[in-house]
Amino acid sequence: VNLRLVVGQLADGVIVLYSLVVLASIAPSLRGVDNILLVPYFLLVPGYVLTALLYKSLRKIGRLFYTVIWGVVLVVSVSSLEGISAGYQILPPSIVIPIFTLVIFTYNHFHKLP
Amino acid sequence: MALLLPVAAAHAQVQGTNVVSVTSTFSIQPIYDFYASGSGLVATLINASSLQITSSTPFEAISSYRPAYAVATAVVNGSSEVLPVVVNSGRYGSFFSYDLVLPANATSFVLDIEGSVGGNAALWRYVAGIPTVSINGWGGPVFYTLDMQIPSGSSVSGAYDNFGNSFPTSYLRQVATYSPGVTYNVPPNVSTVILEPGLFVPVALGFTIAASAAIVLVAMGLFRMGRVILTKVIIGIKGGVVRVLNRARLPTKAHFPFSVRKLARPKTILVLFLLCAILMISLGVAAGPDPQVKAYVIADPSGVNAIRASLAGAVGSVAVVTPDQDYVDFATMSSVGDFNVVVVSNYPTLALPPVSEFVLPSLGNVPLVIVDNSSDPMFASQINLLYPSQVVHVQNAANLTGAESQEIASDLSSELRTNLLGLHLGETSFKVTLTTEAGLSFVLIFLGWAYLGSLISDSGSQSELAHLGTVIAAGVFVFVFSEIIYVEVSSLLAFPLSLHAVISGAKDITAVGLLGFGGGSTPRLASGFIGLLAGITLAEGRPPLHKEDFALIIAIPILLLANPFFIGNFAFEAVLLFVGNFSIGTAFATSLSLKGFIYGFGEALGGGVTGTYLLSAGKMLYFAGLAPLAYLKRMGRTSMALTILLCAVIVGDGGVRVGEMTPTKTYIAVLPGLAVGFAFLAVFLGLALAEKYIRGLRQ
Repeated sequence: VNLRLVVGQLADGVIVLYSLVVLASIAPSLRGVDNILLVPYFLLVPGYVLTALLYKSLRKIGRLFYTVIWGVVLVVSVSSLEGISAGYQILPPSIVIPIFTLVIFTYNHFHKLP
Repeated sequence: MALLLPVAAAHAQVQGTNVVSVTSTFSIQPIYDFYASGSGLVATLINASSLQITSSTPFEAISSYRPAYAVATAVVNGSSEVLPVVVNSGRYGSFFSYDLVLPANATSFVLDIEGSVGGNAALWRYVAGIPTVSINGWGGPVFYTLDMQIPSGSSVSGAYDNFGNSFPTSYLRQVATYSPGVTYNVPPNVSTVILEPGLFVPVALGFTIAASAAIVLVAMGLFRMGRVILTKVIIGIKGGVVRVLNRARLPTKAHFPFSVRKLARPKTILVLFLLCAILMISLGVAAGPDPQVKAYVIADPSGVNAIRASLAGAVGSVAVVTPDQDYVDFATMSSVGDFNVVVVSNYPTLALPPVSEFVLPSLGNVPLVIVDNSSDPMFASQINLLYPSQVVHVQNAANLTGAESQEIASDLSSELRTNLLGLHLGETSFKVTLTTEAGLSFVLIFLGWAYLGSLISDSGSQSELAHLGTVIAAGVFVFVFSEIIYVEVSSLLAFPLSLHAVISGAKDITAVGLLGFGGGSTPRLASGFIGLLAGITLAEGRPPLHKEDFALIIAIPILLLANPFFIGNFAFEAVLLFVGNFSIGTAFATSLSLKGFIYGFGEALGGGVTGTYLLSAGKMLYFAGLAPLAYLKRMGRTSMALTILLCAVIVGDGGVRVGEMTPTKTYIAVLPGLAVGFAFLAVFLGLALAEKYIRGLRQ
């Protein structure tokens, strides 16, 4: 069993499932639930998939750095865009960011860079 | 005045008791040039043909333009008499006020104000601000009419209101023709118009089509012969220059004790940057503080000279700054010890609130506040309440009594700073020092940004992440250190090196203003822009632009600007916004959106929550330019050139804010600015990917 492959597939599964959970969190019935579980998602997951797209080979420290940086930049970009025009407010970050994450993830998955 | 025809006759005169009609005629003689200044003549006739006033009545008009003359006449008891008109500037910001008293039993009056309004020619179009005249506090109805005369061969291509919103050109109604021109009626909400020559559209269209065709032919490789000829010409010119140099026996490389490449090392430029800073501080220590007592006088402009003379009688030579010159920067000016005394006198109550808002919180920085009996009672009581130990009450600041003068002189002498070395500089010598410091302040920016540029190019064996860290750390250091030096030098000299919001024309309240630069924003931008490009060029040993990329980057904006349709107007508005300080049209709206986007980052990351850590989009822009510059090695040739140019503009423009001297704004701008930089980086990396793809297709 290739342990690295298994861990990779497990991480892919977590990304997809976690994104779906974040998407589901906008359901009216879940409005009162504590959102602490979603904080690590916005902090790490979008940045992780963007880093995987932009950087072919990185050491762990670099991967962690870019994961956090791109995560913050992505989340703040979406919130900032929503601030400048009412038109953008139709889609809240809880929808835009997981969808963006899933799109990038899908692209990465089918276009694995050599 | 030959062009100012009586177009007012074309409009029906409004009749009725105590009705005032204000009819202005604005005659423009546009200049169509690459860049030039022009002017237009304005004649305003304020007329009340049927007056019923039983007692003397004050009358005030306000114009946005500087008058060449203002004459008033009234008919009183059947005979005409000339009325004295008091013209003031500074009471209403940059506007001019005209005060007169209508005599009792006057049955009609006319006030004629004539003057000129400046305009700007840019890229063969002409931008003119529309002059305004208004009546203040008149009890009866007032009707306004403004006509604009333009010569034939010109047409209106844009009209905008005060907020930059554009109107269709048909909004300006053609009301008459005159020889040789056309008269338009201008609605009151139009504040700026753009004129263009009649041939502009066909010439621009022809140029755009020809240039597009040329680009297509170049892309198809049909100009090879042209390139061969051009290369031969360039080689010929180079050979000629070398021959001339050889004959003149100019020194060769071997004669110089150092090479430019060695000088361009980041460490060398860093040393020069620090050296310049130390030189500025040393000069400040040796020459400061300002030998003149400086007073900030909040009084009616007509009384400022009398207050200056009265203060001079008490304490010697006094320099005066008024709200007319700047009040938004009062906090910065007072925090570097610019003012020894603030005088509060009869400032117009209507104009006081904005001045009070900026001045009152920072009065604690000024040792002495003189309040006289004619000052606004509310403002005076606020000052008394907040700063009781600093306030000296006098009867009339323009005419101090002996006892008052003595008290002020005694209070000031205990607070005056003296030169550390015991040196005494005369006013002229101190001005020479100030101008030297002003010049060095631009050298400091140039060297700091050049250091950054050389560091960007000199990644050596660093990993990408380490290079990013180095560039960010150096970028933050350069900005913060430069701002510290600006604050330090200004404090030592008790004279601000530069300021953020100096009102145009106020040339002697900053050191860079003495060089004729006002607040010094544009030369500081140029110093940063050129410094960064020079640093990159020297470190690389060649310009960062290849001939083809340079041609492409120059050709695209020219093509956009030459376009006679919407895209051309947008590009022109963008140029006006950036270099002409005209905030108009779609480009202005787009810039506001971009600013909103940048502020969004600041607010999301903890800025602007309170007044202490206010956000500055300009400062964030500087830090936003750092991240893309750290990734140049990842980019293709063209996208790298574009990134360097755009980031040099961004970093240069942001670097202008060093002169603001507001360190708390800098602290809160660093992280949001870096985050914005990563958002910009995503765009630049996208361009780099596109370039890689296109070049891959061509191979």
